[in-house]
Amino acid sequence: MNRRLPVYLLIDTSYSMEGEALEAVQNGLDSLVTALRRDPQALETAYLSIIEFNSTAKQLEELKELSEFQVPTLKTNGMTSMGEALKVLVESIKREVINSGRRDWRPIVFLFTDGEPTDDLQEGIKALRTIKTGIFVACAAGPNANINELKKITEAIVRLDEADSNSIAAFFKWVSSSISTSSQQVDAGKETNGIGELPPPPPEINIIDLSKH
Amino acid sequence: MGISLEKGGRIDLGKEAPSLNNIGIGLGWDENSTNTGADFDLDASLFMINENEEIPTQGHFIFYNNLVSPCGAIEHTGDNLDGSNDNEDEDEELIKVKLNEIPVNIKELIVVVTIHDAINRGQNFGQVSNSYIRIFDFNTDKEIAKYELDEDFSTETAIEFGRLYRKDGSWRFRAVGTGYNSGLQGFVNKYASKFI
Repeated sequence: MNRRLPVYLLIDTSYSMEGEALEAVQNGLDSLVTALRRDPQALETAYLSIIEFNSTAKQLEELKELSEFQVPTLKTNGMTSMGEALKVLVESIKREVINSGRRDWRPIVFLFTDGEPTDDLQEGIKALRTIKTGIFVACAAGPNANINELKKITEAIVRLDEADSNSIAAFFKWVSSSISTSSQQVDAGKETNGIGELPPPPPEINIIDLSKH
Repeated sequence: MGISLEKGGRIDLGKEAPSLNNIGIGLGWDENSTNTGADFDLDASLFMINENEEIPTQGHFIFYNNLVSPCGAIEHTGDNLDGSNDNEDEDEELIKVKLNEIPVNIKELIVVVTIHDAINRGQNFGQVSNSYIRIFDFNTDKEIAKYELDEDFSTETAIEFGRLYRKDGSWRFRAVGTGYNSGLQGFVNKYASKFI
């Protein structure tokens, strides 16, 4: 058996996501799982989990291999507990990711939000600093996403001009090909460290990468 | 020798060199002997901005990861990673500009120099001297204008050296020389906020 590549998706389901955006995320997740199941390398290596955050944060699907993974039905509700989402992420990683023996690859994380944290983000960041993750990409969707808050979490930020269905679909397609690429890279014994090692993002995604490769 | 500019000084390139099209923007600096334990890595970058004071697309930010503009009018000749070159008379970094090929929606070219990874390396422009920006005719090598930054910078990690801008149908150059503490990221936040 291959070493596992855990992938955690943190999804904002606060009330502002209601309507087109939530529907696009739901479709994006369905397409992502379908596409990855067709990729033999990802099917063997990538394990997926979904954490949603709104008035609280909850792991909707535990870390599972793709063939067993069921995309949960998302519902919007209330606020944007991004700090809590990071804490749930850390607890999940500590519980699920294997650290000894045939250990897992470092988990990669994608966070999607159209707003800004309404809880104590710093508490979540403090928890996050107690564990090691692989690449952590935060996606700021639309004009109301607060990039300065996301920058406290990670340097790898991508931005969508609008949180509309086209842009969100493009983002999840890119996440899907990023997971495929990372699965191949770990298979070759190399973990993905920078956003520059992921596939180039589509035109809907804005990114200026100041790191030197 | 071309015209020597002071901070805030301007020249009209159309007047000084009427047939000028291909220009070079040369940037230079010397590192003081202060040893900070790490290589100095200074970068020249250029923002092509429209009338909203922002870049229209991410391709209009010319820097070490994007050396040529979408229109092809601007070309950065590349990053000099280990800091200063040894030839005293040569520019450290060079940006080539074809003035006639710059799209009309671009109103200004902002030229900045920043210290890469300055905070982690404990570096700032207080450890750099003899900084200049010069504009020259790329075809003949003839210098048109030069601005030597004479200010004593201390904590700054980013400096806007100068701007080329359109006025009354010709390109003009203004010597700026304003320092900031926020590195290249600070300029990106200012002129490219849509893309971060």
